[in-house]
Amino acid sequence: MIILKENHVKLLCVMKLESYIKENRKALDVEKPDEKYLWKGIIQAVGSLKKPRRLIISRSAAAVAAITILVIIGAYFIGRNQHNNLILVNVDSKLAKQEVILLRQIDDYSEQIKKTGFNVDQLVSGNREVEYIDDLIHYYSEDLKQNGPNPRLINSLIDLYKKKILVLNRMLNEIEKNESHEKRKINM
Amino acid sequence: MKAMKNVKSICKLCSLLILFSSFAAYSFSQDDKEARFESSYKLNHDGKLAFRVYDSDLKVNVWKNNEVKLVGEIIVTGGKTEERESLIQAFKEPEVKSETNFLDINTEFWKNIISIGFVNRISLKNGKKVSVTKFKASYTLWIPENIEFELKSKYNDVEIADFAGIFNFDLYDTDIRTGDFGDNSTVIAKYSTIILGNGGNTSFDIYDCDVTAENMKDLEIESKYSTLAFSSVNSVKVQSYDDDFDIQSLSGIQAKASYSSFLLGGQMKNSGFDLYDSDVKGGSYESLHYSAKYSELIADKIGNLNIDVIYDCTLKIDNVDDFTCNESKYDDIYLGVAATSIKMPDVYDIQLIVNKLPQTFSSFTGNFKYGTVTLNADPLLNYKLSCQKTYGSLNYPKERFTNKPFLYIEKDSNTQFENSTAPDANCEISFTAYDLNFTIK
Repeated sequence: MIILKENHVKLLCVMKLESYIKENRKALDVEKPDEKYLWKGIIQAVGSLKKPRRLIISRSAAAVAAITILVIIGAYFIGRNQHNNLILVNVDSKLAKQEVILLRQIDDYSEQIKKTGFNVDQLVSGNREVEYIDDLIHYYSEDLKQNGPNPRLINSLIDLYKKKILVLNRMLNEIEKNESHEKRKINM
Repeated sequence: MKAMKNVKSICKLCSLLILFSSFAAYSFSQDDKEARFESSYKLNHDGKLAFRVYDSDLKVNVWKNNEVKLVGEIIVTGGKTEERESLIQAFKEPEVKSETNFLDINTEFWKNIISIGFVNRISLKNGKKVSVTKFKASYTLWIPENIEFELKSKYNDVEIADFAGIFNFDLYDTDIRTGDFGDNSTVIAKYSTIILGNGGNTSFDIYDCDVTAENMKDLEIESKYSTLAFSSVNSVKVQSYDDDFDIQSLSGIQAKASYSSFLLGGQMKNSGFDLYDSDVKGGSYESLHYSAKYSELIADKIGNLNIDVIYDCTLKIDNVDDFTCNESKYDDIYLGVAATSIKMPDVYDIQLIVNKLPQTFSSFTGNFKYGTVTLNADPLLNYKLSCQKTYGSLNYPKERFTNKPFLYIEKDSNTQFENSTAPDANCEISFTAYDLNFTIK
């Protein structure tokens, strides 16, 4: 019969514990922060951040200001481009509104004509007619810039926009007629 | 505290505005200031006067003197006294280039006008800048009766007396009324109302104008979006887009037109139309050459009507001697009387009615696909009827064909027919057809 002394038992326990730890290290490792230690660090850091905070605020303000300036500049250029197309904007707000509506209609018809993919040079009311109207609009707008508004001039300008709409509408009709003509030919 | 500050700021701003407005009102007297000048310049009776005028009234008188007299009047409203004086001084000094045979007067005395609210800021040609509420100038000219008068006008009302010389007008938004004028005149105009007296040979290039004139010689007209009315014209050559013509008496016309209408009167000689979506109404033609799409022709009488191509057109002609249509599609044709002949070699889907084939009628030939043809022959007209048809119908007055047919073959849907109302019939009605309803009564 073997009789183990108390020391020997302790030694055996320690050895088992070491081997147990070695075998189960991964499971025993827990990534839990030392909260006390951490809080100490945070409190220190917050104390030391009082000066850079101002710096951050001023930097943020600068960034906001820069963005605002960029937006304003962008809006100015976009607005200026839009205003470049609007001849009557400096004459009268009602006329400017009318001009906007007419220009929208022109854009709409132009887009519709583009979509058809038709060769517009074959039309009776071709591109030359539209270009001629554009030339006249340019002529009258230059006159407006140089000599100021004049009721007859303004009437003519508005009428030219309306004519452009009329011609574009006719171009669409002529395209439609041409296409139905083609269908008739096929039917023959 | 902040609100109080804002209220104070607004009050300050309002006070400043009131002060500024009072100052502006004080500075801008609304009194009218009138001024006048008169100048004379030598010009030969066969010379040329170029006159430029902007936003004014102009009256032109004609005299026998070899000189041009210019009287200018102006009313200036608003502005400081010294600035009004500067403007008037500039007005009194029009730009003048004078030679023995040429005189150029430019009445525009400013370079630039900027309107800010009720104030016009004017940069004068002499370099000064003035601000006034408005100004209105008017001019009166006396010119030699035989010169060439070149007028460049924008936004004016113009009145010109009877004149024997040449007009050369370049008009923008001008209302002009003239008396008579001479040969070889030209009118280039946009957005203008033009009332003319009797004129010689004249060429027009107009855009959205209303033109009214008395008796004219030969005209060349290029026009868009305009209305033109003449009492009488010798001959006219037209290039038109979206115009309305009304010529009460005309001797000849050659027109290429789209979206236009012609109301014509008179006996015309050789004439021609090339039309798209345009209508011609009235008048008689010795000879007419016609091509059209989506158009209408209504005429009293046409001697020789020669059609190249018609497409989707309506023709109503009371009297025609010889009718030739080389190509027709989807057309509706009514002939009151066809006196001599009808020739239609290529026809597709037609509605043709001839109300009367008189005894003088000699020939009807055609090649038809689809449609309806109805001929009303004079009971005394003897004719030979021959046709070759597939499908469709052939209706003829059987009581008039007492003899047996020379040829009658009917096989499947094809029919060949040949017969005569009298053995010595001089008139021949001959056609080929596919699915045509043909009736001769």
